[in-house]
Amino acid sequence: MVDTKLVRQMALFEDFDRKEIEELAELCSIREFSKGETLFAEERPATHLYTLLKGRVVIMMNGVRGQHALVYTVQPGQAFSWSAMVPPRRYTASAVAVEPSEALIVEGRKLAKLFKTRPQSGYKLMCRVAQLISKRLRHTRLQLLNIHDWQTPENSESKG
Amino acid sequence: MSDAPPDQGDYRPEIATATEVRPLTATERLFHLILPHRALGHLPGQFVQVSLPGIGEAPISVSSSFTRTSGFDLCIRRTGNVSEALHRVKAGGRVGIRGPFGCGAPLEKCMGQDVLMIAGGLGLAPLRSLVQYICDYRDRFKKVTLLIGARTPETLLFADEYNAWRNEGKINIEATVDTAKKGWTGSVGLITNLIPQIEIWPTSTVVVACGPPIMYRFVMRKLQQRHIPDDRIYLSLERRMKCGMGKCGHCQINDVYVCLDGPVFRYDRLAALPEAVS
Ligand SMILES: Cc1cc2nc3c(=O)[nH]c(=O)nc-3n(C[C@H](O)[C@H](O)[C@H](O)COP(=O)(O)OP(=O)(O)OC[C@H]3O[C@@H](n4cnc5c(N)ncnc54)[C@H](O)[C@@H]3O)c2cc1C
Ligand code: FES
Repeated sequence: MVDTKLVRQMALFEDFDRKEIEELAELCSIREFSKGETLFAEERPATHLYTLLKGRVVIMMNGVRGQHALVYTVQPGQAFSWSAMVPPRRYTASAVAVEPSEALIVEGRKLAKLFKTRPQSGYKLMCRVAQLISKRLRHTRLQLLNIHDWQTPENSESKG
Repeated sequence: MSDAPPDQGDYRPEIATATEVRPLTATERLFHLILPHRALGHLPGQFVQVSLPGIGEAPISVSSSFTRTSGFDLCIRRTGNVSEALHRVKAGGRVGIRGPFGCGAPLEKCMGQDVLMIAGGLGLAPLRSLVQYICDYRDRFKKVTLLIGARTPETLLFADEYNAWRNEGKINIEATVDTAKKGWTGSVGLITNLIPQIEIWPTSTVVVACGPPIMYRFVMRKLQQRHIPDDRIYLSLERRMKCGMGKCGHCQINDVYVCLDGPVFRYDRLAALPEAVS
């Protein structure tokens, strides 16, 4: 159980009513991570939805030949590990604290159970999760385009 | 090329000597140049036209502050004819210089204010001139923040200078890259991700951003979410240029000459020029 005020501040739970916030607060807990600690590992079952409260967490993916590519730095206030909300509920990347960090965590299955009986609120939450995924997708596209210097088929042709 | 000092508005370049040339990244080199008869006399944000006889001319921003040395720095990315040839110039080599041109960064507006500089990729080249100026006159400015975005840690420009900017210039610096290998301690992600994290007082902050037009689109959204008024935001534009003096019309957008009226523009003045940042 965490302070309801804290839950209310989370972007994921904006617009939820008092009762729902109280119920959510029951399910949430706060976890601390030391520098270098792995929050979760790629391909493992995705259990929790996280919102970073303090510190910095880097999302990384295993590449070929055992190399890790850092793909995103989570900043305080941002939610991550949406895989816990979406089948097949496996983490698509690993998360490591690069500074001493603190996160609000909530178990995905418990959230699903809570909202099963209240589809309207569940829909609201899933819309937020979809927003989170779509934002990450847009950022990833932009990062990719940056890496390739915005080379589209047209402008790479004109460059000869 | 003439060796004599040019008349105002002259198309003839002066010959400058490269006293130092050093690679910054795989594609960028830093040239320290000295003019024979004068200091360049530029302001942060202004640019020069650099030429090599028989090859061509390109507009390049001045990367150093006039407060530093009698010469000036140019950071040049290898992209085409002129820049390729410039990359072959060694220390002791000579290049043609016209300028400085343009109206530069809003120094007066920044004084007594918090300054937020946002540099995407090569955008740090012109902003370094403002950074150096701020470091040299630090007491004229309040809180100073510099956000830097690059593709990878290896493509970050002037990374060896960040510590001095942080310590001597008391500048809060945050760098982010699009991708990195394990071991990178800065952020990974778009530069826009850094904006919600910084402390901003909207009515006492002046923002100066320099980067690709696509960056401006997303940066502007974030700045507006932080309630920074449009008349406190300055963007540096790049357009193809020839004369640099408002004569040929190459850089013209409607009735605006980027070479003359810019390249740094206040954002509310760009409202009538939607193509300027798209
Ligand atoms: C005010 C101003 C300041 C600049 N400052 C710098 C600087 O500090 N360092 C630096 O390396 N470059 C700078 N540039 C960009 C530089 O002038 C161009 O890249 C220039 O074209 C290089 O000449 P080139 O003959 O080597 O390449 P070109 O053969 O002319 O062009 C190579 C490629 O760059 C593209 N290009 C050309 N001009 C521009 C432009 N204005 N904007 C966007 N893309 C362009 C072309 O489409 C082509 O794909 C600046 C441009 C302006 C207008
Ligand atoms: S470059 Fe000639 S008018 Fe601007």
